[in-house]
Amino acid sequence: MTTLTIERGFLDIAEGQIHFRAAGGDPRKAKKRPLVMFHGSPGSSKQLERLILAMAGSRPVMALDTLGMGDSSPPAREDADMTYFADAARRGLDWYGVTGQVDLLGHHTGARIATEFAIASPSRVGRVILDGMSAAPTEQAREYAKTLDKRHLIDQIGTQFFRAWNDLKDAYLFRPAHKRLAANVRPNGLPPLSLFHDHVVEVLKSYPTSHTAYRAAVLYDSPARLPLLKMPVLATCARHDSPFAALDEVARLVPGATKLVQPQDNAENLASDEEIRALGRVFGDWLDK
Amino acid sequence: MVKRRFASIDIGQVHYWTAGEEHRGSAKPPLVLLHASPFSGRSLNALTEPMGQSRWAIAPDHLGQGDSCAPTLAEPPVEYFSDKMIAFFDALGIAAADLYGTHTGAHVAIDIAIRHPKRVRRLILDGVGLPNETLKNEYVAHLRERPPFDYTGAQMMWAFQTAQDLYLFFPYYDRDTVHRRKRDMGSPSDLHRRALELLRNLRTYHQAYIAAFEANPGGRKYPLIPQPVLYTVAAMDGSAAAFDQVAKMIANCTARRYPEGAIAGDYGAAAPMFRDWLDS
Repeated sequence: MTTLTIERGFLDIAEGQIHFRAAGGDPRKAKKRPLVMFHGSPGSSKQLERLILAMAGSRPVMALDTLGMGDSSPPAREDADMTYFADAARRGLDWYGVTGQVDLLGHHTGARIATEFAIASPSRVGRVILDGMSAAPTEQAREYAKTLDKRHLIDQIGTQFFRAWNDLKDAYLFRPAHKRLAANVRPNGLPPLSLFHDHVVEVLKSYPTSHTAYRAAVLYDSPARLPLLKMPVLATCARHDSPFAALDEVARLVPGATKLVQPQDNAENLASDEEIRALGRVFGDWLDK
Repeated sequence: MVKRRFASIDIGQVHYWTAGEEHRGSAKPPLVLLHASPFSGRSLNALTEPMGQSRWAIAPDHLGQGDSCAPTLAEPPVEYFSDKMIAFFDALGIAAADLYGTHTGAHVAIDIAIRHPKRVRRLILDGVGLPNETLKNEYVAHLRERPPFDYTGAQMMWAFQTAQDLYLFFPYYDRDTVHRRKRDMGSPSDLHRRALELLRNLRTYHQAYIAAFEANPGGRKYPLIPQPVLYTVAAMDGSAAAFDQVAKMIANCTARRYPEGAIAGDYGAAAPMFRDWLDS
């Protein structure tokens, strides 16, 4: 059996470069539809590495860093919405020569990007997996969106390093993260140290410019957009992932969607390697239907 | 604009910064720029960009630094880094290049020039002098100490303080009056990026650094460089004291200090001098 490894690269677009992680062969030469992944906020495709490897045994996988996050260039506009981020991804894939049909998998913010990509270019998209899509933004979400620009914390005494570490720690331990009360405790500890450290590093990389995409995702009007999807869609979420309560509504909003409660309780870094491999198999089986 | 790319070699991917890709394949050899430790080719962007106006300029990250893959040995010697750089040349289809190296990068460049002479046309050496054996041993011992890495986030403080102290002291780990440097603190964004580069490479950032310290004992490699050399140093660079001595040790040497008033890293001032010499 060949050992899969993740390779990294850059796609050139007018406003800079999109960074990606990939495995499973050249998506330009694949017999099967390649899978393009979009990550959640804040973070990067680094947080999808285990899922990339779990799915790359059966198809080429590319996971793109959203503009302003990870190693991608900043977005061209401060007021960019999700249609812009989806368009940038499509332009990047065009530049690379991935011009045939692809499947899409988006996690949280990435689910919005996948949705807009699929609405704008339906002929380019086979199937879509929306992992952790939210319903309409709540008042609490609108307030949260106002806190996402953290550029002012980057200073000569390193405030942002302490802040990023603690903000991410709180996000794992409380919901909402800033309410550190017994009533708000999440039923889990922290991820393994290396995953947690890497996640903080990716958050810090994104510190100067991540707020644009993150804000657009938090304010995303999914009830208006999800009904426009025309291809097979899997609406899915892990039980302990924050948008789980919205799963039924998301599945109802997408015409003909399949709903899937994920087999493991936790998403992303809190799931074990074996759970991520099992999730990859479930997703792969659905894409191959 | 300086772009980022990856090239694959036998042990993984080498990340590089590049400008002037449109000159690829032109009559002028490409210029490969090798950076100082412990950061990345990003530190040379202000030089890579102007040099890319007239040639293909490529600034790879040393293995274990920036975004390049880690070395496969625990204590790789400089020869390891230079041989992997030749693999990088092969991956990009570069038969021969001009080389610019500063500090660690200069030591890797010297080793490539001596051991792979056909792959190098001309060499610019910036900021290398004669090693002080006591300082070298002390510095290497310090680099071998493992940074913290735990759930308290101690590594965040370590990385940021190290990024700061590289501005404040020489060597950066001696924080007393004697070792205080008189220079501006880095900008918030510069400190941010540098600390992040350390955080990405907590277990490997020191390897190329140590290899460079051990690369040229007593300066004995200087007389062995077969290519024409532009040897240069900025006024406040620590290696400036040995400038005249080193210039005499290099066989085919053009010795020029940075323009008056320019400090290390002031590439806007140095780039025209480098370009003129490469084109002469």
